[in-house]
Amino acid sequence: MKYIQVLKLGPILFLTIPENLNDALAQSLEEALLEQQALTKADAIVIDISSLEIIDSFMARVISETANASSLMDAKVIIVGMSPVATITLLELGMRMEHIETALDLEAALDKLGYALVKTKKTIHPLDSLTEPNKK
Amino acid sequence: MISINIVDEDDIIYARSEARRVAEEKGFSLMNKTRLATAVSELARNIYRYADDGMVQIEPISEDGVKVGIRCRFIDNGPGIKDIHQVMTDGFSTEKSLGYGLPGAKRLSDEFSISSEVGKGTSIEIIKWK
Repeated sequence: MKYIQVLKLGPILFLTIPENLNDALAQSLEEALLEQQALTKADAIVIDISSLEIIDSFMARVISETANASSLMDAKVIIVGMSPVATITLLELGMRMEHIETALDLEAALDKLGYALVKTKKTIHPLDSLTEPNKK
Repeated sequence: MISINIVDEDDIIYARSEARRVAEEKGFSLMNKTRLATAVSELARNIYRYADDGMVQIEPISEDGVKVGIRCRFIDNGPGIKDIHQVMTDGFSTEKSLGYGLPGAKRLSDEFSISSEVGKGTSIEIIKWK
């Protein structure tokens, strides 16, 4: 059984859907995500599906059920990493995924969630400057 | 010809990656490789879900020595399908409950034929041309 990791970044949780998922793994994936969501009170979930070469109806159901469960627990869910080929195949297959919000990449997903990537420079204060206020 | 018995879920994954590998060898485009692998995944999953045992056969074919394709057969000894017309109708199946992505698998294939007998089993053949 593959290990499922849910990564946390502030109020956002990241989940990568592994390739070659089976029923049991799909279920534990959903459970792992919801547990983490309850634990961390995350308000946004980003689900990465870029490792999926094909999305069949089973996989499409796993993705939409997982997204739906997280939405019910009051998080905004965004799917990232859908490839052009997987998209075309999915539509030909007849899956519409109507209630799913997607973003082309992680940056776009963060943008949709209202977050931006900001680099902050770490400043290190010398020790004496910290004790300075107490001197007088 | 490659024959894969479909017993558990990993066999579905094996069948679709074999279809993909053969398509790759025959020089299929990424799009058509993916269409074929997805159709194989759908139909192999039907065997896993609805029949106790069944198999997938994958075979490269050629027409007039020019046209190159891959033929896949899905044969099971399951309960069979009572109303083929109904299961071939969009919306009867996939998204809501269990399986039967038959109309979808048909759209992803270039040729599709199905025969089924209640109590005996189902046989589906698809062809994807390069």
